[in-house]
Amino acid sequence: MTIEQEAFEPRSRDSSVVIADYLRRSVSLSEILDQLWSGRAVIAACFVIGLIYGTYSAWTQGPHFAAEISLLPAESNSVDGNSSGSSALGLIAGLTGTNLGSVPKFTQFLSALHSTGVAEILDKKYAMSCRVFSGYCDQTTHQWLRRDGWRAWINGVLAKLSGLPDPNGPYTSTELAQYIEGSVEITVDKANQVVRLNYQSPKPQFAAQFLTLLVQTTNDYIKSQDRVVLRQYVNYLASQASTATNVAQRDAIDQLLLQQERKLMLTEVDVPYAASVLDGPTVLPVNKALKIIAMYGVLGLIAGALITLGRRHLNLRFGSWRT
Amino acid sequence: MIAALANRRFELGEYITLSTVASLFMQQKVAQIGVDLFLGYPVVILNALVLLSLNRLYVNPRHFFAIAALATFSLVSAHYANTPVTAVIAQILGISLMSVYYFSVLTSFGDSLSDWMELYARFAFGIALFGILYLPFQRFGGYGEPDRLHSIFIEPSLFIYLTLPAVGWYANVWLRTRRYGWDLLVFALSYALADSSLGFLGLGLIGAFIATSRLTFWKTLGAAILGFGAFAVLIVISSNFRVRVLDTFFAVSNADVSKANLSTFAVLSNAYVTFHTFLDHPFLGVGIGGYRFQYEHYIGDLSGIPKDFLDLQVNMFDASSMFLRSLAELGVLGPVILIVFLSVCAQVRGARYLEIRNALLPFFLVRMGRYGAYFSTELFFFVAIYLLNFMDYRSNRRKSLHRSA
Repeated sequence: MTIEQEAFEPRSRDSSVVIADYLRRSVSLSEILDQLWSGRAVIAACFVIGLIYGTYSAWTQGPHFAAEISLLPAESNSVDGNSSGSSALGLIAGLTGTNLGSVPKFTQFLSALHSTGVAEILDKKYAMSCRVFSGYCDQTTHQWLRRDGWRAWINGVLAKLSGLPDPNGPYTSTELAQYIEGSVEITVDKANQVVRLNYQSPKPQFAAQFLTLLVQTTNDYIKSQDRVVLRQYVNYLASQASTATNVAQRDAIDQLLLQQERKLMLTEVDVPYAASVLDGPTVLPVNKALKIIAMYGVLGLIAGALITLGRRHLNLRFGSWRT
Repeated sequence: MIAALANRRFELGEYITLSTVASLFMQQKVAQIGVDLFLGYPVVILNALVLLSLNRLYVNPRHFFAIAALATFSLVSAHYANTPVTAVIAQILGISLMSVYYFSVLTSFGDSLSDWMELYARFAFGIALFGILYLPFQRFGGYGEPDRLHSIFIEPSLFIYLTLPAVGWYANVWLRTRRYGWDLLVFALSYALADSSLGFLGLGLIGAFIATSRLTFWKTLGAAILGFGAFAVLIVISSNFRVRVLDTFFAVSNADVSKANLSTFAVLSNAYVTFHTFLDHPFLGVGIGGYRFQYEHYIGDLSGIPKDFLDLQVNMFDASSMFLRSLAELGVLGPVILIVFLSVCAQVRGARYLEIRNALLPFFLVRMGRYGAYFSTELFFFVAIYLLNFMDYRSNRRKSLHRSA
């Protein structure tokens, strides 16, 4: 079986007008490749520039480290889950619309990780905003430096135009909460319910400490919120128990009081409240250099190809204007 | 005959034409590396390189911009959905190669779209005939289901996808010219032996599209009664069809897929994953190629599923349907593009155009409804014919309007 190449030339075919029109408007890929080949010096130069810039970019970004911490629901979740949903108080709370305890502690914990409340505590206790946005804050005096540069200037001008306060002042807890939301990656393993928090930073020790403090503070935040509510319940029930005269009613109140005191006890001791650490924080280096260099190299290739094709297109246009 | 064939001299154009049509049927999966690799891919790549070296591989600027727009949209979606860029690039490369190759060949070779359909239909007829003759020996092959006709493919559904346009084509031509009557009978027998719900659905759609242009009220009523009758007969005589219909009905009504058969489970579990992906990313989707990452994320939420089913990860890469997959990967825009493409290009009149439309539209509905791969070898061949058929019709209509004005 042989194939005749000479017979490959276009034969007279009964192609419809639309197909002929389609072909007329089409561009041959071989021609494009020829054009690219003719501009190979430009493409190679752009590729090399891309690689050099990628190398420079990887070098200026410095080292990066990823801290990871694995979490599991803490013991108190099960106590809470067993009692609150089915208890008389839970029923009463549901009827009155407060729906106490309907959200598991662990879910509350995950939602609170990037809450402003947690960010405020982190800021107060550990000056976290100053440490996270260290480029704009003096680490010894914790005094904020004024943000400068073209981006800060543009933000300032736009804020002034809109009559808004100066956006280049000290970072607030709200901005810290937004930063946590954007930079702490939460992954849930559906098979075993383990939650992994991942955070990247140029400073390995800080990355590990940041995650540990975040978990600890969020646990404390949930605990303190529960403590306030439970204390009120306990006080109320204790006063009711002391005034109730009916024995059956008093027994029921005593039982409720016992339940709430058990919960209150968990908020008073220093144990993981909503989430307990299963593993970590572990810190590993993240090597992005190859990825960055390859990315800029590809961008250089694309830019070189566009310059080559664009130059030819402009030459053709320029030629047609001249004629 | 073999010696005569071996000594025959093939023109390169003839080789390209024949190998292109043959490649449509080479859908035997040989590997999976992020995307499914089919037996036909080496043929397409080799032919594309031959055409490239001979300056015969073309791309229309609109075609290029469509791919560029899809790539840009997907990269933006992928950025927000954390889909790896490599997954997007793999899909875009596959779509680009297949679409450019099949559009180039269809517009540069062959005499007309009808000739292409006829050549393809002859190949499909050969596959169906082989399937019937091979059926008694199928169980010895150890490949696919032993009792249902699947010819050279791994499963009957692939046989259906790849021969349905030929059945539609022969049926339409037979109605006009009374040619291919025996061929249609062979196809009817092969479809009965394949015992595939998709095949019966496809035949129903072909009948419906043929009938739409000829129906009066009483004929519509008669066709409806005939359709219900055929459905009832199939329920009674085909256990496979019955299982599919009843399992799907009970799984949907009880919201429980744990007792469904594998095929029903595949559709409903992927519908579940798509639904949740869509709720998370309604406007941008997760980017083309990102579905499988969403599958891994959501499939664990389904409880009570037999472990065997979950381990199979049924249709994890293609969402079991192009409509579902496009909804997950491109957001609301995905199915809208598919539906607009199918409905706009269906607006043709005249026997020559209707023959192609009535052959391809049922195929697209069945194929896109139950198979989500973007660049299996047959898709862009039929997309190109369907689109060029519409463009040809529109161009001729404009001309005739111009003449009458």
